Amino acid sequence: MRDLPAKVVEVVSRLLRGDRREWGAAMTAELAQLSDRPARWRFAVGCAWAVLVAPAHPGAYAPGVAIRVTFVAGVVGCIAATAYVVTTWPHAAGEISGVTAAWFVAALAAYLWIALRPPNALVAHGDAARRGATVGIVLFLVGAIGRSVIDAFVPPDGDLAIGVFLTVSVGGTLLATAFATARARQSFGAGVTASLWVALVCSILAFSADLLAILSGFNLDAHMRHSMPDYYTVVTPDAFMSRHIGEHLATSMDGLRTLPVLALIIGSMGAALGRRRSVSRDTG
Amino acid sequence: MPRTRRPSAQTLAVLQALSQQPRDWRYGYDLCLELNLKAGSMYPILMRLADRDLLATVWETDAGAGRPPRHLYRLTRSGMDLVAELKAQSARGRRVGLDLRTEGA
Repeated sequence: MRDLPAKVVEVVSRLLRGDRREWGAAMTAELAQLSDRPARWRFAVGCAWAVLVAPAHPGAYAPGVAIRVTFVAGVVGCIAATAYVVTTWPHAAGEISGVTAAWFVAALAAYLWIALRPPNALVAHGDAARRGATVGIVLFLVGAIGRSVIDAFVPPDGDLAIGVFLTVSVGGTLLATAFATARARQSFGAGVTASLWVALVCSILAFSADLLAILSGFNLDAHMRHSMPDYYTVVTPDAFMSRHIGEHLATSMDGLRTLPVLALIIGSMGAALGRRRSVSRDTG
Repeated sequence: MPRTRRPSAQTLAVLQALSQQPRDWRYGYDLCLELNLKAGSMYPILMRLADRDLLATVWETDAGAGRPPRHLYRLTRSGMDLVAELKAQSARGRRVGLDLRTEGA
């Protein structure tokens, strides 16, 4: 029966890694035995979940269930929240360029791909990937708390302080993680991998949090109006809100791709330093 | 190499179901119905058991016309050994999350 549940199982089965493909075929064959439509749907949804939480094959690394669910939920949340923002405040969409929107779609697709079928380059160093993902969660939490503290204690011109704080904390974390991992594993690739996972996990969490902040109106606080009095007086509140949201959304979208690129650059430097230290320590 | 971590309650239930008639091959969906487990729980468990050589898998050779062959499962010797070990633990009064003592009694 070639109905929607069959297509769901077929599509999710393709997301399984090569060494797991036979399980996709097994689920497809089981579904073919079912004729009751609700039962087919229940089974298809179960199969989709099974693919999402499928254990890593022995010897291979795959993101843990928590990471995968975070990535997928983050991507779904990003799509839903973005759709809500641009339909609720149509002017906001005008602030997002075609290039930014295209990058955004590509980034979300890449995040989904990484969650379900991470490329070998990202999973070759299992411990490093795990360590990086953990550091990414910690970095996100530290960043969120730090921003809240600065917002609370350094109004109304706290943007510079937040910028400095994020630059130092993010850059420092990427560098330190790559350095420490490369040194511990005596591997340049492990250091870069760890740094990339820091960025991937942190950026999807940060983007989701940013969207929540936009939707809750948190960012339209007093200091923004204070810092743009001329602008605010010549536009209507709706237009201000739309433009502010649009700009913020575009910045958040840029962050989804900027942070991984930064991680690649900074992580390479940190990993090179760490590898060099480990080599000199071994030979010294 | 099999991990020494104790299986989850759901995994224990699957092991118990498969050990009741260890020579019979079972279908995944039938196991789901028997144990009231969703496919999203059942298949990751089956994958883990197979990865640890506790579960043997084969493809059906006499599938009906127009239907793809189904995957069949039964415990391996290692799987049976694990079930026996869990039963022994249970008999010694240690909680394993599932009462395996009465089985076969």
